[in-house]
Amino acid sequence: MNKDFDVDEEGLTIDGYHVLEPVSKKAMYLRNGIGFVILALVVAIIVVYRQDIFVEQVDLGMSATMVVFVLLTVYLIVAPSVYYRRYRYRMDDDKVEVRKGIITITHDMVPIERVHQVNVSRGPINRRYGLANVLVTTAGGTVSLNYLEEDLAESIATKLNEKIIEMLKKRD
Amino acid sequence: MFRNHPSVILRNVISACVFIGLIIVLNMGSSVEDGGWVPYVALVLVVVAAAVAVISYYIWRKTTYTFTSEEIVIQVDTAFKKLNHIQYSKLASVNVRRGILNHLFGTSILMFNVNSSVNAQYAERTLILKKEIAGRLRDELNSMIFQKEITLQEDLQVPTAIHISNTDIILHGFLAQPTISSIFGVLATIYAIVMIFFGSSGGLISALFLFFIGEVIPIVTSILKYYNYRIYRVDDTITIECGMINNYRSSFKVNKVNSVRIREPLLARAFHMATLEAEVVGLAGEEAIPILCPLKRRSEVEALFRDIIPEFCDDSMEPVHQPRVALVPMVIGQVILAVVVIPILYILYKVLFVELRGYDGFIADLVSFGIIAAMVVSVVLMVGYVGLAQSHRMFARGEEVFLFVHGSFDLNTEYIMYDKVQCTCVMSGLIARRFGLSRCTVNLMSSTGFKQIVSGYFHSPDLESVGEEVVARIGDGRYDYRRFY
Repeated sequence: MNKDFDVDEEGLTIDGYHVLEPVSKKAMYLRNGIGFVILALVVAIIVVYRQDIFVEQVDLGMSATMVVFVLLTVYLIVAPSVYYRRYRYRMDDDKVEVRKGIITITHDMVPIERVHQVNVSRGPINRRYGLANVLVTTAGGTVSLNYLEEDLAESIATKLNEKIIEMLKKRD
Repeated sequence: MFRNHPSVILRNVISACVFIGLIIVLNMGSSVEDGGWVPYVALVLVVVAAAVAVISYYIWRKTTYTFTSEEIVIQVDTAFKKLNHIQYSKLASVNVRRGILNHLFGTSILMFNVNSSVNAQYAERTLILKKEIAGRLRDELNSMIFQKEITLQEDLQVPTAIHISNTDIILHGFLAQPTISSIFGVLATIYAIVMIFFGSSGGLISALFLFFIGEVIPIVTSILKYYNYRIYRVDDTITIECGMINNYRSSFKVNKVNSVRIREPLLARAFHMATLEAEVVGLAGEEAIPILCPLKRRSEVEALFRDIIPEFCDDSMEPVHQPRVALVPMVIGQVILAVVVIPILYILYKVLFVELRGYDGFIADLVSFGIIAAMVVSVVLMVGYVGLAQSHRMFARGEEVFLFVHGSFDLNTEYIMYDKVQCTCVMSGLIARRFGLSRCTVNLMSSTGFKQIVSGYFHSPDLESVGEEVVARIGDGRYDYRRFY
């Protein structure tokens, strides 16, 4: 693994980013597993009705369907591991940053001064593993910190809210 | 205390009757031809008109607008009681609009726009008053919002910052359309010609309909809207007046502008022409992205830019071109696109070939030629996209603003204020990463919710510096939120 992802005793990478807890990978695999079941159902329907769907190009249509099915299956299997390995986030007094991605790597940066609203959400998959997402909303879009442990998500949301209130009080 | 002009009741009745009438006619199907429906539709419309008139009168009677020294209080005292306060400090603009009914009744619509991205698609409130009263009220409100002492009558005497003739506006209507819209128009025309060859009247009608929707309506709408164009700046307030049938008068403060854009559609660029547009927070509806200069020569547009909104000009900026190595991810991206598009066209060709077995040789040849031409045009467009993007995309950082030149066929030279950036996202794909390149998306609050502007491919640390500068300006006090209220 790249040294960028090594963590010290405080759970921080060399450049001060936090990495996700291993349990988050289980949530990602479960989510992708459900995705795979839905995908397999769609492919099964295509196989059953292939004559009606592809009419005179059945072989061509089925070949294309199978290529897409295999590619998506490989993606669903590999994605959680890559996503987990690359996911990093950090928050200081001025900004929130998230680095993540599977094929395309993104680096989101939100100045705390621009934050309007902070939400903590727990879907059924995240609840099963005691995880939550923090959605940071600005007037120009949102950034999400995903698969955090519930306590950590709550504490990040609380800290952000406190910073916003403190900033607004200073303005008054 | 004010009420809407009573003509608002008539407007509601007409709108409801047109809407209900259309629904009835569209749902009648084949029974349209026998004509026995007329008395029934007329009866339904009379009932609808009476009901809407009574309800509208009740709402009109029970809705009042009170202008205090600090706020507008809108009281609705119907079964659904509502008390709405709009502080003048939250108002971004008060605009005037006049439609056909307003011209008939000598009224104007005052549109109150607040500083919000949530309801920015529509004005927060509108009030219809007699033209003279609306003008006076707007002057008073403007003096409170913009600290602008000038009256509407004096406004009319301020010379325009650039002379735009109505010929310019007609040219703007034709040449300033996005290239994709022009391509759509050409395709619709080709489709119509093919349908004539096939002798398909239904196909011809649908082709003409597509041409009308995609090409004619945008051109006519643009000409009607920007006819009699005038722009001027008084202190920190820019005002735009235009309109042939509907008259528009939009005013906004310079500190509500997020970015200024010189837009050059491909066709206009061939004549060295461009338009000047602004992203403004607080203008609603059709005026959300005001045009500061309809299509003019690029040199004239740049001169107006410096004159009307110098806050976004920074001569110290040294734009850098997209690195040559950016050609690699762009070309690979287009190759992947070609791998998807060409087989789809090939499958289409095979399917049509089977379908056309019964037709004579000429029609089959025509369709085959069309599909092969589409394949060739697709490849030419892909090559053109890469070539134009590579030769024009630029990036520069200044003191207060930064610059993205983005796009390909249609070029946008976008001057963005650091202090208006809400968040940034630097992204690098599989190939671009190998060369240390990224693209940067900056998110701005806009009149249509939020606006994203995406740069070309540049070295990742250079693009990361945009977000870092936004944060640094907040941290060291160069960003002062009071400037933007």
